Amino acid sequence: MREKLRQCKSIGFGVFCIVVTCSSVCGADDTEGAVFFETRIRPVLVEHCYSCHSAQAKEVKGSLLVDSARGLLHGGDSGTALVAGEPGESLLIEALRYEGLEMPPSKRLPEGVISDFAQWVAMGAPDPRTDDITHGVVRTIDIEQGRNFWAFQPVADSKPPSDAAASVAAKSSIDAFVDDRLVQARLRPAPPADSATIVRRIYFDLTGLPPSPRDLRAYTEDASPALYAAMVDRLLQSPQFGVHWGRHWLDVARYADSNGGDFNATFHNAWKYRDYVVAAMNNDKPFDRFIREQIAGDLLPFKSDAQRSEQVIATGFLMVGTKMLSERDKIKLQMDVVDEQINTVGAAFMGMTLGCARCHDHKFDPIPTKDYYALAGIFRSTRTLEGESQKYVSTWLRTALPVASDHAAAVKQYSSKLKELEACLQSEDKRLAKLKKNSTVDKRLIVDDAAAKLTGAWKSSTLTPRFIGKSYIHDERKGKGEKSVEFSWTPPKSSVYEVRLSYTSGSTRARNVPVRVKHDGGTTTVTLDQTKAPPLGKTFAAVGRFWFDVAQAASVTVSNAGTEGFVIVDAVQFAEVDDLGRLVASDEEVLRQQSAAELTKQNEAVQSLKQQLKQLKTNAPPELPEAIAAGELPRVSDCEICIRGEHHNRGEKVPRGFLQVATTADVQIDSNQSGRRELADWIAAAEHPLTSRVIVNRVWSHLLGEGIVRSVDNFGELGERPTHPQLLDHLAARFVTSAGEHTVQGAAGFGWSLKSLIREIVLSQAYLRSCQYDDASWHSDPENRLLWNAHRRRLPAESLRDAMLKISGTLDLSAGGSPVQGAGTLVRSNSADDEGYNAEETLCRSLYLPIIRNELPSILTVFNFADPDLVVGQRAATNVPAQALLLLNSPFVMDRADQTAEWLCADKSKTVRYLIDQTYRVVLSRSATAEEFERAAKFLKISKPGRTIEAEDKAGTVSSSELISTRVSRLVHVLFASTEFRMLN
Amino acid sequence: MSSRHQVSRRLALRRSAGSLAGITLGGMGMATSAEPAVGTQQLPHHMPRARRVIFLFMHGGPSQVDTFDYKPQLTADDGRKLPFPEASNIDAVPKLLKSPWRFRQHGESGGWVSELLPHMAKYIDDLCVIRSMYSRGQSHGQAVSMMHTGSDNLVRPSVGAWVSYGLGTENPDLPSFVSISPASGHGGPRNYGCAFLPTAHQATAIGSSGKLGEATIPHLGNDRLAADEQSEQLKLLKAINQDHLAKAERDSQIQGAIESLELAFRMQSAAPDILDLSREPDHLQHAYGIGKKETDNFGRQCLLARRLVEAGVRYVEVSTGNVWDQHSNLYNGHEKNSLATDQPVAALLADLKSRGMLDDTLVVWGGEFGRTPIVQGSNGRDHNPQGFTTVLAGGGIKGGIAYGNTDEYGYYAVEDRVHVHDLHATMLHQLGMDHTKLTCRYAGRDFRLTDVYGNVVHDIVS
Repeated sequence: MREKLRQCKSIGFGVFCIVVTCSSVCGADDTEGAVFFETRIRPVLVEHCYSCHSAQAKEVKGSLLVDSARGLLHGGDSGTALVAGEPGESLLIEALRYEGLEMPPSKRLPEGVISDFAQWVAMGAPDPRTDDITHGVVRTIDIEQGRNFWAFQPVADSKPPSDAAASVAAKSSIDAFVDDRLVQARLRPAPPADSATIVRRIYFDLTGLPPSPRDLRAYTEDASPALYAAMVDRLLQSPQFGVHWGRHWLDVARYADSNGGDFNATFHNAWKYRDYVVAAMNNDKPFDRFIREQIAGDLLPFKSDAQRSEQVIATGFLMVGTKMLSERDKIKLQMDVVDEQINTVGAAFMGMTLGCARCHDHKFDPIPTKDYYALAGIFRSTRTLEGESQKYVSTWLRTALPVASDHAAAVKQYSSKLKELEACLQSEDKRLAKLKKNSTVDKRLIVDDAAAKLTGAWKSSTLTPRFIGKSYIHDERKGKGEKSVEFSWTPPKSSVYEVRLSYTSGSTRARNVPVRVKHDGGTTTVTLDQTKAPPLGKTFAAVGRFWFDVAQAASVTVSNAGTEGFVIVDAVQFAEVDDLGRLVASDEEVLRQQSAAELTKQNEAVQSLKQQLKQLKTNAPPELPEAIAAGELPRVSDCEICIRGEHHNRGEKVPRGFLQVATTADVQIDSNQSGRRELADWIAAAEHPLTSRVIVNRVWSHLLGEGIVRSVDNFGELGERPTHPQLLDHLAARFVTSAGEHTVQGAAGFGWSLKSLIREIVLSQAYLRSCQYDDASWHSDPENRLLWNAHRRRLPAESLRDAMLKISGTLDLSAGGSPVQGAGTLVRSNSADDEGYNAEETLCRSLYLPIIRNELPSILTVFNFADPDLVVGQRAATNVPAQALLLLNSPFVMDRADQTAEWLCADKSKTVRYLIDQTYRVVLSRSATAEEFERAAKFLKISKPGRTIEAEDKAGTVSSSELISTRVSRLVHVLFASTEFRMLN
Repeated sequence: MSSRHQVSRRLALRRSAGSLAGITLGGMGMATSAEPAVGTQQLPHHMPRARRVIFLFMHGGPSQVDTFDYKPQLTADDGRKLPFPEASNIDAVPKLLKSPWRFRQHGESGGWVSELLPHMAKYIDDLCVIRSMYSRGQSHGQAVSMMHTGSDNLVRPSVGAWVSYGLGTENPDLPSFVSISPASGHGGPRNYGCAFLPTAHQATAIGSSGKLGEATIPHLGNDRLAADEQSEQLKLLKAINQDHLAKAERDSQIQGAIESLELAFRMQSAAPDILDLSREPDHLQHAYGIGKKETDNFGRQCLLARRLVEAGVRYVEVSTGNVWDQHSNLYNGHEKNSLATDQPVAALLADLKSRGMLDDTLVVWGGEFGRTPIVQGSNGRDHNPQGFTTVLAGGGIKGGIAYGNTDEYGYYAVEDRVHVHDLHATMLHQLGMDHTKLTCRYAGRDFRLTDVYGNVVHDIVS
């Protein structure tokens, strides 16, 4: 044991040495001892001790504080808590071991944990916590010092180096910066890519689609810088530009058409935000405006309804994150939503990971917890969630968009009419249902006149209400003594039954109608006075009670013998009577019946209402548009620090504000508003050190394959450092300088225009370089940080799919609209039998496919589509067998190959030679080499490539049943699966 | 991206995921190269007791007091008011509801099991019944996520993904993590996803929502092309890709794509055999309940799980579908679910045992939470993350023991409480991994399955 302890101590010593040597790199936190503390000790202290022994404790027990190094060393009422290096003499260890003191009092900690503590004390109790704790807010971060980090320094424009410029004529400033580094590193840039490669590259980069053979020919036959620039300008104006670049932003905005998470609710209106982003890209909306609208569009002034709509829709950015809607602890849910928004805003615009600061000061970046809760106050005052879609399940705010007044009036009129009609229908329907229920004739116990045996002429009537069945009959006051009605009946069981006759009464009726009942005991005749209303439910009059035997047929006969007035016969009822003489069923039940006429009338009324309603709906005005958009809560308030991120453990309130490290001016936030407007202004300010750098870097990485800062979403301490810091700042400075004006160093401003920035980059030699390998360069710079050649890049999933569609001639370029029309509240239920969401197969651009979280189109996910739950500035680049399986076996790919082959082979007068070349040009945007030509011909089983397709098909060299197009389809299929097709050279 | 050349370690960790080991072939999770994943280089951290895991997920939350947590006091006080406060945010009323099923002691260990699970009861001496589980998340979404990823609200890698990340696969022709019939709701793929871990480690799903169906992997075969036609294509494709690579001279991306294509083709021929349950003898299929209406589906799922782990898959999850959620109709619901799963689970245990595989296969049985001992409606129980039962078997876990306790009614875990983080820590421990050391750096910090929590439950380790 002693031996072991000594060992531990020496480790501690070694650790100390490490601190000295590498603290400048890793920071003092990163030592082994500190790591031991952070991983083994601190979590235990937090979980088991803080509730009584920290500054946040409601009541500090025994005056002991363990939330700072000093507190722990200092000890409490019982004396010093620990003696560094001497676990045996440390009260802390004694207490943990339950020797004397027993801590924590609830339960002894596991042995492993206790021995961790002993080991830690033996190591000298290394404790990296340098802070002194006062009330709740821990300040360990030196903001001023934090500002020295490169990313928080103001953007500094510098003049492009001039020496390098001399080496190559007429270069952009980008090349001046890039080449300068290459010259310094003695690296030779790769030659420019050939013209076919350039065309393919620029088409995919600007529109996400391949060039057509005609596009390809137009440039390759006459390549010139002027023609290239013209092509770039044309592509920047293409509506497909916004589809491709909008998707880049949607990756960052973690866009989806459903909530995902626990409760996959449909975002019926998220597509409006998607289309807003596409339009913003196509219209080259200034990026600062784009920022303001997405964060605070609902709070911005507007000149027209259209502008108002656009700005409200833009705030969908804050809304489309995934939320645990079924969380029953709604305060926690709210803080989780706030967290999601803070994380997204932080990463998307500033390349900062702010989530860490929810529970503690950021370990690596100068972002104290206080800053997090300053932002949390802003988002907690924002209305994101609104109401519940079912018990415990929250739903989100739907904001009405402005509409023309006549539209609004029409909708208002429509909905009030609708409401009225629906209310009316409902009550009439109810009445009908009641009537129907009451008119149910129990055939076992009621015999209607329709089923009776008539003797003589009886006339059917519905004149007087309250009858059973469709009508009743009368004797027309004629043929007295000649007419009778016989009801036959078989009792369902042997019992006493009360026999009742239904008739409609009136003063013209007969007063002595004979009713003869044949029952088990014989035959009994009773007379009824039909001028009097039937006493039972105004329908039936009792004839008498008799025993009926199940084995014996019974009958009731009504005749008009000896009568003067009308004899009315409607129905006979047999109501069962028990041994004690009580009716077995209740009176009401026994009396269930209603007038058929009434029923019919009611039915007609309901039908007519339904008709009216249908009519109304057919002519309904368009629905009032809504958006998934943020709003303001009526009660705006600062947020309390949630200690250790625990929302029930509230510390002091922090005034709403921004990241201190990136703020120089005083923060002024309207006390009646959430503060989103001010936040947006702060982020979109030209002088913000992060915003312009982050977006410029994003654009750069999409075009060059790597960012100048390679960790595009993390500009913090743990992110990468810029490979070309001056270039980054140069572009950032130009980006925020108004168009037509110049930066301090005299470069033309882009006025926050993404298109201008993109244009500048794609016109540079750095962009136009080939991927050509060079051994010397590779050995000197294997990661190609200095851009000596072009990074070979993957085509994004969307481009793969869209390219196959375009090549096959089936791509549908129509834009926009809802991808989730008709989907219910939940895209899919949580039940075991749910078959899942099945999107119809569409041929639209991939951007318009429904992005249903948890049900993403597999063709996209397999090829590293951005996970819509996370901010994704740069997609992963995996090589998984699922990709190969999909390309080799998916019907989608094979269908596209078939369609491509079909049109390629349509003109049968073309030669096979032409066909092969055209296939390569169409799929890979280049001609086939001689070797490829031979190989393709062999694959196609063609021996005479000079022949026409028609001649080949007739000659049947392939096989009797196979046409060339079938083989061409397989060739196209192979090319679709090739690495070259999947990448941008 | 620059994985075409050597990448810096940090960069590799963050993004290129794809080009390191265990990772190279993501999605289907094939590790070919011997280079271990970064952050996992010292693996195993200690001698592993288990090499693989089968997680039998009873989705919806089976009731602990009706299965393994015998509470005579609950029976005695049936209908009385709960004498302490109930958990918040639930619909059950504080009136105690006794179990409608009888409990009996089983095996040499005398462990209590209700009559709902007669087959599992036969293996009680192999089971470690943790009666003191607790979790976070009063709703399914949160609790399911907690059980699968260790987080109730954030997007995190699932347990299986961490295991795959740490240990890779034992069979390069198969994925390292398979989820059989995973739920599509309550987070769906999140629960078997890899979040920020390399894609290789997400599960390959077979079947969905508790239904095995055709039991196949997407695009595993081609029904339009004959085998010779496809191999002709493949020959051409290889030549074309080789050209591309030759022209590029040095490019690990192209190289990787070529390798994964070959593996895909290999898998296309290997996987169908593993997925084919008819290769199992009749008596074994019968033992799993295959062919019997009630047990056929889950029986096939369990048998497939065994075939997969046997073939070298590291982590297999089997889901029942969200069927255990008896807010009402407790009696019929739990009867039906037990009938469907009990025999297949027992058969799986027996099968593993007879093959000597139970020793190094950790089997975990349980739901995302338990159910309240108080009544919802007249014949139902609400969600209960405050206390529930998870059952472990094999993989170096002590058999024939019950660990921890809930209160006298089975409501709150009170003694030797085991949080889901502790369960996860213990699972990793059995696999030879220290849950505090298995990390992945993402968005500026090192993430762990257990976040900053978790203690290995050493008392249940044999």
